[in-house]
Parts: sequence; structure tokens; C-alpha cells
Amino acid sequence: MSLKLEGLFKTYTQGESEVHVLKGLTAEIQPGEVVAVVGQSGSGKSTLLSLLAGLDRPSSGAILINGTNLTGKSEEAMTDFRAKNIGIVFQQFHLMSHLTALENVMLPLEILRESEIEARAKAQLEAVGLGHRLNHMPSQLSGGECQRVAIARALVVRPQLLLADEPSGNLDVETGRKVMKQFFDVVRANKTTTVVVTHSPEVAGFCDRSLILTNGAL
Amino acid sequence: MRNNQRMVFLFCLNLALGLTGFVGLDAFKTSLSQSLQENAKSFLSADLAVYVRRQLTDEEVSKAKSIMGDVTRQGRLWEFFSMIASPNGSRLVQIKAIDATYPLYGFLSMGSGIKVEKETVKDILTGDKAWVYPELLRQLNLKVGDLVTLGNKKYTIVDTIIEDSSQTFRLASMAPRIYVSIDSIRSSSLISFGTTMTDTILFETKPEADLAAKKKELDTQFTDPAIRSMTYQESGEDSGRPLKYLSDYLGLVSLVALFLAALGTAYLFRNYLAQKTVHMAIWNALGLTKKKAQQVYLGQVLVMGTVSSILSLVLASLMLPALAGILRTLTPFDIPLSLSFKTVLVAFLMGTVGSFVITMPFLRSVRRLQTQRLLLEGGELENQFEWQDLVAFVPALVLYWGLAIWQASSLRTGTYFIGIFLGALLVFVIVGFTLLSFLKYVPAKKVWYIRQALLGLERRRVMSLAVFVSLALGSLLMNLLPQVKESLKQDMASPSNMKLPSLFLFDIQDDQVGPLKALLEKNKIEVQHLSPMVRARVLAINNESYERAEADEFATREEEAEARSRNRGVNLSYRAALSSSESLVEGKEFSGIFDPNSGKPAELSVERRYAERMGLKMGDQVKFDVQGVEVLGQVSNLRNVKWNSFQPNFFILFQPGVLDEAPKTFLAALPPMDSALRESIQDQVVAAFSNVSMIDVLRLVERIVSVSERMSWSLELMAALSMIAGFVVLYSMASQQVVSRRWDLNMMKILGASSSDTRNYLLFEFWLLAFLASLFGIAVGFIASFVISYLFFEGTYQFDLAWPLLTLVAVSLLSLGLTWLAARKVIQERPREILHGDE
Repeated sequence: MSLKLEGLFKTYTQGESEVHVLKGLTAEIQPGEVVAVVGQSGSGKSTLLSLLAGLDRPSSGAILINGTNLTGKSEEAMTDFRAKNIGIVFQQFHLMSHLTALENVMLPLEILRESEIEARAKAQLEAVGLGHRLNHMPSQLSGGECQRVAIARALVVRPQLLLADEPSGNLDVETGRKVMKQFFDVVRANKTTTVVVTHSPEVAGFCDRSLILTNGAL
Repeated sequence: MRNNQRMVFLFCLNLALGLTGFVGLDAFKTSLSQSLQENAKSFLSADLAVYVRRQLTDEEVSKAKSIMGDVTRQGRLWEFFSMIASPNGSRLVQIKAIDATYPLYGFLSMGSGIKVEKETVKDILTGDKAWVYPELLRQLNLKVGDLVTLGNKKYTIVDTIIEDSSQTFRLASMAPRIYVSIDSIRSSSLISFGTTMTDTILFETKPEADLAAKKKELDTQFTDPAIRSMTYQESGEDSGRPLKYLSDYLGLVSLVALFLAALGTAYLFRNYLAQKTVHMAIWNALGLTKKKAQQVYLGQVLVMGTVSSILSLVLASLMLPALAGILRTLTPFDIPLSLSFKTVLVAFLMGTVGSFVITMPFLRSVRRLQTQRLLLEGGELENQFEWQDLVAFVPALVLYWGLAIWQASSLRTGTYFIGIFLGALLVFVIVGFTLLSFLKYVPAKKVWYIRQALLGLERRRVMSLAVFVSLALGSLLMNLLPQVKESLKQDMASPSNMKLPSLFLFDIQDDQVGPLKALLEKNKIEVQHLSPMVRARVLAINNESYERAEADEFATREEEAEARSRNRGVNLSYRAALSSSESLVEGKEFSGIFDPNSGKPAELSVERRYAERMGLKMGDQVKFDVQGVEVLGQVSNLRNVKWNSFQPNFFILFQPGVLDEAPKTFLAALPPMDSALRESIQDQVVAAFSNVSMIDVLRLVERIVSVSERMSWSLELMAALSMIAGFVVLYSMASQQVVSRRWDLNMMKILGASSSDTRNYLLFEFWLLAFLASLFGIAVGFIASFVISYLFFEGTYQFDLAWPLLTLVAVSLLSLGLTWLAARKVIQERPREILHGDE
């Protein structure tokens, strides 16, 4: 999947003043490319990710995925598009605490009314090395395991675009390294176009290239 | 607290609702008690009265006067039921035969505008004149100046009584009153052997008189336990007894609402503390001791408890007019309902102490906070509730038990209530737990949110169980009362499908039986269940003297009831076999006619509940004084009696051949007949046998059903409060769940769920829970009402489907509405915040 940003602006209103978070971003990411977006806190990384995920809308500009402009889609169409094409991995994992690892991974497939849900979820968990922890609750898993479940959940729908927000930010260094290695192995094997927002030069080092975001501009 | 306004609001709302019923009832009880005390002298018309349910002998009157000594004033009063005849028909009336001194206290407001007090010259004392209640004029189409017949005398109605300060509660008034002079009654034919009457000597004592001492002396000097004395304070209590019983049962129902509120409050606080664990750890790391942290939260609890108390006082004062409205239909006078200082104090004590004992088990866990985990990377701070914390619920349980005893005014009833309540709770929890466990097996793979809702219910067991128990209890209460009421109505109208008699006759003299039968035969009516009645008193049980109870105060209602039954004489009867309204429980039927030469005591049949009250068992020997003759009997069987069959029935029956020669009167019932014939028979009997009284059974049944309906309204009002408390618990938990699951819900949207699917997920989850709870509550309500009907109405059960269906629909709709209300903001939320990591 190709991804193209054209003059992307995002402005928030805070009281009577306006905050310009993104200032005319323009970039192009090739299908299967793994790109890191790095920058300091407040540089606009997370805002960029929400725009790419279709969770927020730009103030102006366009996001083209395979030539289709996301900004023109209705909320329902965007939700449907996201569910089928975009996987997201969060820093805080955001697993459902009352569901097992397997059930967490099955959930996006259930929402999409896919077939062979359980088998696919199991296979995805095995791919991230958690075949032996299928029926464990998140509270019974370590931080690294939780993040691997979250990765499996993002990948199970076979997204064309994977977005990751500080995927190792909540893990200790050693665990983060292991999880990231596995993450990049899987996305490369699947040839998934991936955008990783990170502070970590080590994580950025796994990527094909880095986009440095400073004060809302590349 | 400022940053947790939703929790504070729900905490206070929960607790306030639970307290409202309790506080409202306390206001009701306090006002009732105050009103009874203020009017007590008027109810009795005296400071002290000596009375007996027969005519006092001259010696007994002299003895009572001599014991009372120097009094300011004294009077005499006869009260009895009799038939009044007029050209327009006849009716049962309650006759009050008075002398010149009546009333020693209180007043009668007359239709003519006169206020009759003790000093007033009374026109009815000269000649055969009568004052009557206005309803008698309406019933017989009479007016002031018309003539009516009582016994063999004609009385002129000279005035009507608009207000009678001696009338207490309408529950007891079976017939309208008529006031005549005692002298005119003396010379009438109405008082004869065995007439059911109360003869009272009224005393107005000097202000310095020690009434308690006088009463004690009277009770000691009169060896006949049938002769009793009563001070005005006792009269006040006695008069309010039906309403006190009602309010006690209302109190028990209000405890259910209190429990549900406590459940909701505890759940909210538990989650609040869980959310604050990190805050507490940070405080602790910054130097605040765990004890101090505990005190901070305790302070919050006490503030919220106080606010809840204030809120409950406001809500209770809004509820009081509804209670007053129901009361107005039961009492002849208005009871001004207001919140007393005591009630306000009770509200504050319950609010603060109550919230403390509810939250204490969770506050304890603050001490186990592991602050060091803050320093561990990825370490989670969880303030887990442990099984040992259950011990900390003991004070709450003890408090609840104490409240139940207090509300029921009875150790036994309060303890039974707690036992049954905890038992029911356990059943609800077990059934709820089992039901929830099965939800994950329900095949619902096609609709993801249904599967997720089922999984959520099964996995979030504490929340699910709390809502389940709350709504199931509410539904149970809401259905139990109407079902029992339906059965009661059915049972009153047609007990065990028996046909009710049309008229119940009493005070039939021995020599009137033949002529009465002949009169009825002439009208082609057969007398049913003609039963002799012999007055007696119990002397000894198994050779142990059956003394008059001496207690001045009773610790429990059971002691009081037992003492009251001991003080009462008994009416005996005899028959060869049980009647259609009786059934044998234990032992065997009478062996036949008593043989005095057998050397054995006579056989006795005792009503089962009466035997329990008297402590009588099979084989026990009871010695009676039957008008001066000692008679020994032995319990040979216990039987159930359907009292509402309105057939002549007795607590104690002798086998034939023992009491046959004793002085007696007769009771009888007449079969169903149309109203015209009934009126005609009534008039003919009154004309021929003026002393015989008749109760119109259908009219009485209508009256009892109407009174019981009015009483049950108040119970239903309290049950509705429990249901509302159950809904507040549902709303609280839905609100809390939505907040704690905010990220899950947003995550679902990110994963592709539409807003409507997310909304449906929450709505389905809480609807299903409410529906299952309500269905189960209704089912238990059916079973419980069936058991109650079986135990109390012995088999009559009226299944009413409309009310449960209405409950089910109402619970479903309200649960959907409340869940939507609690969740609407989060459902409408856009999930982008989740990426900004600001949890």
C-alpha cells in the first residue's frame, strides 16, 4: 500500500488561541516500506498518527492511500476502511482486560465478521511466539507478552498499513528489543507498509528510513 | 472529591435513597407515637379503666372503686354489638351505652354544632334517645328525629356524631356507632346471659395519682384474669397497634432498599479506591503515612454520608405526604407527619455510621498498599480485596441485624428476617453465579457485540452479580406483594372455593335456637354450623398454674402477644366431628361422647397456631374453670382452621358430653342468598329475637379487602423504593463500568466497531442482566407468594400474570434507558484521545 501526505495541516483551538500542530506535511511512503517518525515530545507525532489512522481529520491537506483520499470519507466509511486496512499498535497495549490473549486477537476478526476466526487468531499469536499463552488473561501476562498480543491483534486482519505508537515505550530495554525484533520480522515478512512513531533511535534503526518531525514540520 | 463528582453524586444518591424509606418511616413512627400519646386520654376517655368482656358484678364494681380510692370522677360504659331495626331495614351497630360523666376526656362533635364534653348536659340521658354516626343514617335512609328499635325499645335519633375522639383506627370499626344511655339499656332486653359485651368503669384520677401502682394493685386484687385494667398510656399504644405492626413490616421492607443502597455504595467506593491506588502510593512516597491516607478517605466517606443524610431527609419529607394520604384513609383523625429532631439524628447517624461500616472493609486494604512497586518498571499497583476482608463486613452485618430487630420491634422477627434475607441473598448469588457461568456457552458468534456482552457478563462477575442481586430483589418485592394481595382477595371472597355464608349470627340464647330454626325454615333456609359457645378460663396446664402475666413492659412482641393471650379468657365449644373449614394436623378425631366413668380426662381439639402460642402439645392436660366448675381436658388432636370461612370456629373444642349442660349461647351461619332475601331475613330475625346480632359477611369481606388493599399500598410504596434503589445500583454500576471501560470501548471503535454497535454492546449487556435478574426475581416472587398463600391461606393461590409482565417490560425499558444515559457520552466519544496516551 502506498501512502502519500500532501500539505497536511492540523490546527487545534485552545481557548481563544490556535495551536498549529502540523504545518504542511508532505511525504510519500512506498508499499512495504517501514518508516520511523521521530521527534521530541509535542512535535506532532501522535497527531500525525491519528490522522493516518483516520481517527481525526486534518484541517487541510490530503492523505492518499493507494490514491484514495481518506479525508473525504464519512466517519462510518473511515471506520470500515480502518478495520479492513489499518492495524494500530499502542504504547499502552490497550488489551481488553476481561478477554484472554486469544479472545483479544479474535475481536477485530469478529467485528469484521471474518471466517476461521479462532484458527487465524491462534496462528497470529503463534507467529509472535505466544502459542503457549492463548488462554491467559492480560493480567497474567508480562508487559512484553501484552505488547506481542497487541501486535498480533493489529496484524491478524492482515492490514495493508500498520501504525505503531511508541511500541516499546512501556517495556524495559531488553524486552523492548526482543519485541521490536519480532515485530519488524513479522511486518517485513508480510511486506506491510509500516509507520512507527518513536523516541528511540534503536527502534528507528530497525526501519528503512526515518522522518524527523520538528515543530509540526518534516 | 471535586475531581470525582460523578462518584460522589452516585455514592450520595445511592445512600440517600436507601435511607429515605428508613428516615420517612422513622418520621411516621415518631409522629404516630406522639399523636397517640397526645390523644391517649381521649381514646380511653379516662386516666384508667377497669373492664371485662361480660357484665361486671356489683361486688366487682365496689372492689374496683375501693382499690382506686379517692378519684376526681368515675363513670360506666357498656359497649356491644347489636342489631338496630328501622322501617327501612336493620343493621348491625356498635352500641355505646354511657352515663352522665362520659367522656371523662375528649369530646364528641355533634351534627347540631354542640361539642359534648364531660360537663355537657346530655339529652340522650333523659328518655330513650340516641346519637348515631352519620353513615347509619345513610345506610338505613334515616334522618334526625326518626325512630329506631334496639331490643324491645324504641329510640329517637336526636343528633349525629361528626367527630368522636374515642375512635382510634377505622380498622376495628365493623359497624357504625350509636350512643344511648346506660339506664335505657339496663331496662332493655338486649343484655342477657352470655351477651358479647365489654363493661368498663372509667376513672379520672387526681393529678398526683400513681397510675402504674393502681393498675398493679387492681391486677393483683382481681384474681379473674378476664378482668383487666388499662392506663391511658397503654390505651394509646393499644390503639395504634395495627398501624405500628404495619410500620414495623414497612420497616423491614425498607431494610431491603437500604441493603441495595449499601451494595451500590460499597461497589462504587471499592472501584473508587482501586482507581486511587496510584495516588495513594504517590502520597505515601511523598511522606503521607498509610494511616493518614486512610483517614483522608474516611473523611471523604463521612462527608458523603452526611450529604446523603441531608438528601434523604429532603426525599423523606417529599415522601411523607404520600404516607399521610394512605394514613388518612385508615385513621379518623389526621396525624401530622413531620421530621422530628430524633428522626434527623437517626438520619445523620445512619448516614455516617452506615457509610463507615459499609466502606470499612475497603479502607482496610489501604494499609496493604505496596508503594515500592511504583519504582518497578511495568510494575502494577493493585489494591486487591482479600478474603480476610470479609471479616470486616461483620460490623455491617451486626448493624443490619440490629436495625432489623429495631424495625420489627422483635428479636425473633428481626432475626428471622435477617436469616431469610441472607438465605435468599445466598440463593440469588448462587443462581446468579451459575447463570452467568453458562452465558459463555450461549452460541452467539454471528453478532460480535452479543458474544462480547455475554463474555463481559461472565468475566466481570462482581459487577454482574451486584446488579443481578439488586434487580432480582427489587423485582421479587414488587411482585410478591401484589401476588399475595391477589391470593388474599381471592381467599377472602371464596376461601378454598367454599361458598361464604351470607349472615353470621351470634348471641343466640339457648331457648331461642328452636324458634329461630323454625323462623328460618319458614323461609326455606337451613341454619348452618349451629355451634354452642361456653365461656371459660384456663386454670392450669399440666397441673401448672396458668397465671396472669405481670410484665409491665415487654422486650419483644412475642412476649407481649404471649402475655396478651394469657390474660384472655377462652370461648369453648363442642362438636362430634370437624367442620368443613377444619382439617386435622395431628392426632385423631374425637372418640365419641365423653364417658365420665372412664377415669380419663375429656378429649380436646386445639387450633394449631393457638396451641403454638399457648405452648400446648399433644397429650397435654388443661384445666378450665367453666363458670365455677372445674373441667379437665387432654389435647387429643391439633387442627387447622380456615377462619375466613366465616363459619363458627373455636380455638378449643371439647368432645361432646362434657359441656352440654353448661350455660351457653349459640353461633350460626346462614347460607348464601340474594340481597333482598338477606335483608328480609335480617329484619325478621331482629323483629323476633332482638338480642341476636348478625354480621353481613359480604359487606365485612369487602371492608377487610379494602383495608388490606390500603395497607398494602404503603408496602408497595416501600417495595417501589427498593426497586428504585435497585435501578440506582444499575445506573451506578453502568456509569462506573462505562468510565472504567472507556478505553475498551474506544478500542472497539478503532478495531472497526461502529458507534451503534458499541452502544448495542453496552445496552445488550445491561438489558440481559436486568432481564435475567427480573425474571428470576419474579419467579422467586411467585414461589414465595405461593408458599405464603399455602401457609397462611392454606392453598388458595391466585396467579396474576399482568403484574409480572409489566415488571419485566418496565425493568427492560428502564435498564436500557439508564444504561444509555450512563453511557451516552462515551459512546459518542471519538477514539483519537487514546493515541495521545492521556489515560
